[in-house]
Amino acid sequence: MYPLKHSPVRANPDLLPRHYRQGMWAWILHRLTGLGIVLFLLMHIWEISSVNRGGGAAFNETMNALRNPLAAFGELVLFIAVLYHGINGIRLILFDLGIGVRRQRALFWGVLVVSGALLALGLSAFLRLIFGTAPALVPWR
Amino acid sequence: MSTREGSWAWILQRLTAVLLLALLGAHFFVLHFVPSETYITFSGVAARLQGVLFWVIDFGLLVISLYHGLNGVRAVALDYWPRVDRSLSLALIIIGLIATLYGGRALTVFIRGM
Repeated sequence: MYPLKHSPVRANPDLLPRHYRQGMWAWILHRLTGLGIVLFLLMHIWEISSVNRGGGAAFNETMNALRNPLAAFGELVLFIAVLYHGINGIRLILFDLGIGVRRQRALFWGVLVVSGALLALGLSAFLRLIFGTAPALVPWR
Repeated sequence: MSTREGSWAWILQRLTAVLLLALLGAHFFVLHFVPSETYITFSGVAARLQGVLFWVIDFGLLVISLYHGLNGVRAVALDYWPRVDRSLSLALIIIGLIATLYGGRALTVFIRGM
């Protein structure tokens, strides 16, 4: 293993965020969304496990408490993070299989387009969650 | 960690990634696109968890997402602190085991329905 004696950022100006190109943004976004999702995962297990602490009543209470605009907004942020991380993850696995490495930049834009399209689809569920109404769950219905 | 263990971690990270794409997709679809109850309640979740399929999906998600997430944390941390591998791995394994047991116990409460 290599000890980090010198700051790689100082040694190579390409590592400064303002010099990031697509591949670097793809990488840093994958990290940040991954870390955020782990944090959510542990919170999610804790909140579901309210049944361990007070049975069904405690679970229902927790679910009621989580029905608020802030939690809904948090779920929207989570949804965007999971979409990006999952679809960019497909891109990374394709690279591991030797597919598309030379077109990684174009594929990054592809990841953003597919994420955006699925986000538009998922937003209908969020509208129902946030506004408490029940519009059609899928746009074509 | 030896190279051999490291490459296993690498393979498992990809394997769990592919499994999560399927399991998380199913999880999201069931909770948001299958019209069932308006609000999430204990009895509603308990009823759903009587089916073996949901049982497998939820236990699978618990174990696989914890592995993938915590191994991801390890990979990020090792980029900044390359020397802490052994103690960091041990700490993450303990966190993962506790979360698996605690979350697994919660699932059994739902399955027993009481």
